[in-house]
Amino acid sequence: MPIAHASPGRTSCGVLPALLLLLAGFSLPALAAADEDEAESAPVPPISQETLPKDSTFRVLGSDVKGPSGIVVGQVVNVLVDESGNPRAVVLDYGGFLGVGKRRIAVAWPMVQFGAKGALLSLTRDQLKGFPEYRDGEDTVMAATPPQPR
Amino acid sequence: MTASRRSQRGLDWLNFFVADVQTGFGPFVAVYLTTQAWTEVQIGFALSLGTLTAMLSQMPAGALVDATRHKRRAALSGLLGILLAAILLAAWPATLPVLISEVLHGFASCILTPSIAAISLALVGRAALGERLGRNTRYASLGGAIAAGVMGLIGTYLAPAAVFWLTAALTVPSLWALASIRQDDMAANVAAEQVQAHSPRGRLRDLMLDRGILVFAGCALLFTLSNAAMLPLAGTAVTRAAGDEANLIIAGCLVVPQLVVAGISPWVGRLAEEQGRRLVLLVGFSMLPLRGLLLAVVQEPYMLLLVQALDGVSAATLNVMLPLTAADLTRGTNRFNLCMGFFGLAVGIGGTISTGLAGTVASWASPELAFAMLGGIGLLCVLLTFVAMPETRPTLPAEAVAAS
Repeated sequence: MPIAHASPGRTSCGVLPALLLLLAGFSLPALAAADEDEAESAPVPPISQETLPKDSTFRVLGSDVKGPSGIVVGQVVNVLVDESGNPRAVVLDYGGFLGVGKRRIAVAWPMVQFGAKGALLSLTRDQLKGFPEYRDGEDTVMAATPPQPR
Repeated sequence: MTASRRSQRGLDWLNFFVADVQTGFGPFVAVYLTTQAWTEVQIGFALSLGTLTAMLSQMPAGALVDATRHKRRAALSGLLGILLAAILLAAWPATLPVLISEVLHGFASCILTPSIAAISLALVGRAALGERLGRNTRYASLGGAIAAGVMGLIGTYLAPAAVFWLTAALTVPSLWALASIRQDDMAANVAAEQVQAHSPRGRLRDLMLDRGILVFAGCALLFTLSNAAMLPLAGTAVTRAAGDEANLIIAGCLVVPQLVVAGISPWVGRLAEEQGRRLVLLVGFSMLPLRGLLLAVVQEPYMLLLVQALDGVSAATLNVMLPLTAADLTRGTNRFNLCMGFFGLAVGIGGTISTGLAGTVASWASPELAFAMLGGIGLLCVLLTFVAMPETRPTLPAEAVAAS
């Protein structure tokens, strides 16, 4: 059951159970009330269906990330979004061999391009040398290249 | 009666291919499940379930292998279990199949490891066991080294699932190797062990209160507590410090110790027979504090390869001495595999705590402190061996003394 939730990894563990309790407590009476409302007032607008063509969007979580040299260098483990839902950073399991020595780092969203051939990271291993690790619940340091002056 | 050449060769290759198969079930499982969009919590749960199963089944599985006359059949069922686990993982990476695969692999490994040791003991008898275990370890580490290289390349350049298909495929030559070990070569020794099943010394309680067994279990626990986290931690340090060559260095860190093990393990087995167990244990275990210290100091990635060679020395020691000590301490009983299961449990507990503990220290203090701590635990392991571990080598028969 791969759950693809693109929530920022900063949701602390204590918040989630509390939210669930709140939901359980409030949703049942609310649902009952909604049923009554529906009978009286105007019907809610029907949902619309939209189709995204198969190759126009790409799965993010878990996708292999290739480096500039075309070799798989890591996997996407999370995407950090800001309050308006815009993606800011990609959290990667980066490097390693047979799972040994991989590191968790964050790179700025524009550093990774998604396409039919998978995700491409535009930063090289040498550029990411010594870059600090990503840690849940702390300030995120993300790798980015400065805008090219033209 | 000495075992035929064919059976000995079969056992060599069995060790070789089983190590190949087990390499696939290493840390790569986490990478694979990540590519299947598993979250970290889900992966952690699946892997912990596998570890827990392995720990719970160590001793029952050992007792089971002790009880059966058909050691080959026990190994066969272990191999088939691992085959099924690999196929499930490769073909169907959904929640339930992966959880079943982890449980199956945990249990099957607990059957397979002691049954290979039981086959070894049955083939050569107690007198030649040290040398035979050295040979087992040599072939197993060669298998592990080659598998790590090949699977690493496949995981990088082909699909991650291909690693598990290869794992599944490698059980086939394992089965072939197992089949080429002849039952007749083992029959006499197995029968002799079974007769001792009801000897007064074989009671479970006595076994668990035996000083040698308790002390060695403590040593085994401290050993993996110190050892298990060193390579992952060093690997992360390499990825952080090195650029493009990082993967090559980490691959080297995996392969170099295996090659060292392959080179020295027969000699370790012989040394244990000639000079006694305590000496070998002390020398081998003392590599742990040395390695912890060096890893805390050495920064240069290429130097890590040299430090990793020390890993080979300590790994060869544990891999040869664990079954050998179990055989020593259960002489005159039919509890060899139960004792191995007990030691396996100690190894499992140490390994499980090690990675978490070192990871926490490394992230909250520094990796250097984590290495120093792991080295310190290794020093405790050496001290425990020095102070409390009895010499378990059987006293030599008169003619052997005269001959030397």
